[in-house]
Amino acid sequence: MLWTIYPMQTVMSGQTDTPRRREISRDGRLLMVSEAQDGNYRIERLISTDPADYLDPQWQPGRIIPSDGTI
Amino acid sequence: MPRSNIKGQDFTDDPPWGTMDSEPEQSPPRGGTDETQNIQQLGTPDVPSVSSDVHCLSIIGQVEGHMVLPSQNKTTKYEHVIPQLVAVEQNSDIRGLLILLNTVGGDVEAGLAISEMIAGISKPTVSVVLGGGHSIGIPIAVAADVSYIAPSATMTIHPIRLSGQVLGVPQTYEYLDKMQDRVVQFVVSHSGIDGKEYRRLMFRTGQLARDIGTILVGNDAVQERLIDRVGGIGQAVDHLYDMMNSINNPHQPPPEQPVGPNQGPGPPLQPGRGGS
Repeated sequence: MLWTIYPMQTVMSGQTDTPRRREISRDGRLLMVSEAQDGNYRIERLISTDPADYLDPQWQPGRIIPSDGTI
Repeated sequence: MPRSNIKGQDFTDDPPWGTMDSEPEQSPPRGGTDETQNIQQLGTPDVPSVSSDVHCLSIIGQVEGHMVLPSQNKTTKYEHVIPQLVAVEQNSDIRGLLILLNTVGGDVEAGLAISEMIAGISKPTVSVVLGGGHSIGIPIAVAADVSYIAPSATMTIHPIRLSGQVLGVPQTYEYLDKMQDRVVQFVVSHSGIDGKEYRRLMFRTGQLARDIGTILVGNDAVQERLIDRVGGIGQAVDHLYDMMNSINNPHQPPPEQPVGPNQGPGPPLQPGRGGS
């Protein structure tokens, strides 16, 4: 059951085309990524409770990381 | 990006930390150097590297629970948050938890589950409501040992209802009422607000355009004893460190102490506990 100040039609409408995202794990950190060109991933969001992770350039949003898991 | 150097200085070569006029095509594959990426993404060439004994949980957008929401919603997912809270509880290097809220509400049971997890953590917890902590964001905010609200932040107290429809089926009303009771009881037992007052705010008319209820702005939430203090991240972090330092010395193992359900070792700042 949803309890939100947003109208239900706003929450449920899916008209905007947002890029497909997936969750991957790198070095124990959860990343939400979108597919970038040439099959690599672009970090969209870091999901971590460690504030230091957000200062680590390796995990910053926008960074392109290889999809083969080399980092 | 403009080619001009913003500082107006003459560089014969790029300095080692990069310049504002570095262009993406000059950077190596996979997004370039750290410096270039830092400038592109964060607007600064260098970011400090620190380690922290305080971890931070952001509750943003919609609280997503049993139902996957359409992808244009920014969501905080139950399945991400619960394991993170378990890790915070178990990792001995983490001594305190800061919870930042900017949420419009969401799934009631997921929100209550997150709230109970936060309330059950044995380490000091401090929450800060930043932009908004509406609907199911309220129990999450009050679940922490101490809660802060930014002066400009708002909290909307309104009944659990689906888009304002009139409920003609008694069983449906009972179901919603029971769901409501669970939330009200949690909020009342973890904050200073009185149950009757909370319900009065919830059913007040004339405040919201499309619903009944009340919007509490910053200090209003403190006046109603829903939130403990008005303040920002600085005060919240200071308070968290005060609580952490008062219960243990970082160079010694923490003393054994019994921890009851929903009761952290922090100072007892929950005068309304148990009242309804």
